[in-house]
Amino acid sequence: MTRSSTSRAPWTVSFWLVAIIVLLEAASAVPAQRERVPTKTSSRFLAAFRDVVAGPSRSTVRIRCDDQVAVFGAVVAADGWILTKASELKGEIVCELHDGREFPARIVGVSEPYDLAMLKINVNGLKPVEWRDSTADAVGSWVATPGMNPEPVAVGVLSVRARKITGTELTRRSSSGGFLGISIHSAPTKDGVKIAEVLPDGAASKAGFEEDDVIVAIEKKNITDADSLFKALQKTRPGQTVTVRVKRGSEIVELTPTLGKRPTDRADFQNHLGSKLSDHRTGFPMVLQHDTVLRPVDCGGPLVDLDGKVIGINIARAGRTETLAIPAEVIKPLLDDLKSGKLAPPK
Amino acid sequence: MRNSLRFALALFVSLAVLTPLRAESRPPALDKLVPESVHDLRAIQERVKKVTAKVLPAVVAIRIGHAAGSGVIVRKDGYVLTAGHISGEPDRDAFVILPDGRRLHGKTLGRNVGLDSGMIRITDPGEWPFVEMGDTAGLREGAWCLALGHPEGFRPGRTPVLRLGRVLELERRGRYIRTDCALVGGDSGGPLFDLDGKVIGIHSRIGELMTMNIHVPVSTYRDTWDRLAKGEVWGGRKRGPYIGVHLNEDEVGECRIVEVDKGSPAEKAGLKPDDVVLRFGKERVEDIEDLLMLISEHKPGDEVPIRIRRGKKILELKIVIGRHPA
Repeated sequence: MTRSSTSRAPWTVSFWLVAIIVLLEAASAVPAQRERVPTKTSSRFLAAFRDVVAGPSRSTVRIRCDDQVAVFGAVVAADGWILTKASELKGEIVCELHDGREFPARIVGVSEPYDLAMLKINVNGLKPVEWRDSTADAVGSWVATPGMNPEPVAVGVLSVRARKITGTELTRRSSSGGFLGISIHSAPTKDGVKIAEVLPDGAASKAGFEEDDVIVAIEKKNITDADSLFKALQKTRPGQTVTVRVKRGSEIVELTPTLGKRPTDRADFQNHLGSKLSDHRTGFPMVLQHDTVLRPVDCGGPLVDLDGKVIGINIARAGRTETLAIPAEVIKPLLDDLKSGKLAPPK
Repeated sequence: MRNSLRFALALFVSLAVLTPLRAESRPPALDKLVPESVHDLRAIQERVKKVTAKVLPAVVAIRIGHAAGSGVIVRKDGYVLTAGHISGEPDRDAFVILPDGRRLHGKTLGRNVGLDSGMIRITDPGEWPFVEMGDTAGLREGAWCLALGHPEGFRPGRTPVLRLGRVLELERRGRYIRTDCALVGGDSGGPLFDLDGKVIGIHSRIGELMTMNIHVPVSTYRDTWDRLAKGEVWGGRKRGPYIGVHLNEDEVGECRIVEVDKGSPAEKAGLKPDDVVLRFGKERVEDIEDLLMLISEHKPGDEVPIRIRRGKKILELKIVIGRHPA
């Protein structure tokens, strides 16, 4: 292949996200190669964490659903209580303990916002995790994810401390809902949410939406701000036709878009580079973030600091740069309600 | 790029101390190739926590129109290093967002399109938190590094996101640094730090693997500070320097000309197909990437001596760099 001396491929840019473009270039052909530096995933490196996970790995269980490896779980009480990631559970659930014993499990409680499930198995004398509030550890602290082996399954550092997730971040990438194909002004007007841009060929464009239209209601539900718009759309499905009430100038118009599927955008593409992501990975009201590259099947179990204390439960591999955990201080007050069935599994 | 990577490995000086000044206070664990114990891990952790807390206030998010990226302030009067594909054209309005959410006004400055370095100046009056630029020359492969930035753009309430990794590769001619600090869209322009809290690179691009995170070495910002600060754009394809030769990309270990454009600077200089370029200016040329890089460092109008091998003869020619035809 020949090329001109000055045509070194420029990394092409520009792709629409719903609101803004987020830029990072994809590297041109740099070949894969064996690293000369032992990276964070090498067994030599993980071996340094053996002492850290020796205790907490005895409080970690491997959970299989219908004979398929599903997630990890954390022993939270000696008499057979296991906490794990709810949305990965299905069919017949079996917990394999650190010592190799296996027990069938049933779901007793679920916290939907945090995607946590409490399982019960019929056994006594388990070693429960030792909790520590995640706020005790600063950004930059090592975190390890214990598994069933002497080494952790993976390690990383605390990237962002526990924080409340609000607004559009709480609802972003809700890929299951229908897609209208607009970008909006984030500040609400007194009537509803104003359209900044109608994406060409999207559902909104085909249904006759225009820039500056104000969305007042979807399926008779009032839209007051970006949040309520996202929530209303999250309840829909691609292919569904919905009634949208729109204020155009002083007029009220009713439009009936047939919703589309959210397109895979540049951000999705990049986030999927290099690791597999959890299906359910957004919408948790409070999370801490770390940079461990964790497989979705290795979520659901304890996340420990260098003292082997559990500062959270890994809840999702959420992007190329992020793994999320529900902080210990959020989980501890939920435990009783999850055990008692006050937070009951959905029927 | 493939050719040059093969050569990129030589510098594996074992456990060299990075900054002699700090040698006494620097725990040995920081320079081990692999931590061997929890004790070593703790030493690294303490340093990483300290560095993060120190540098965080200078890590910024950038908004230019609809585009979002990251950057880092390196002078108290508001010079911000970023990626060239973030700053883009000079003299555009930009917002520089501090970690506490304060939005400052700024203007884009210069850019090296080839290496992807860029610069922005905060135009609001004031003094800003800043970090020091480090020295890429003191780096070694295997050194710990910290990546900070705003993956997917600024999010209120989220501090710049830390990732810890290693320098996996220092490109031989200083064109890029490769690490396993995972990056994603929005990180572009954000800083890579060493364990002394100095900027050693700026996030530029990624490949598929988690070990393919590419940063612009900070040395190029030092070397071309004036050009960037003046708002110069260079190294690009359209407006950039051009000589008009086609090269064989599959050939390893030499830079052989396959074709010469009619009326091009190369033709005027007397270059012919099958010539092998040995030197361009004062620099040796070992593969086509070398030549591309050296051309990109010149301005149209520059006269550059070029040494070639034609058959068994060595010839010295002079070439006047042209401008890439649009």
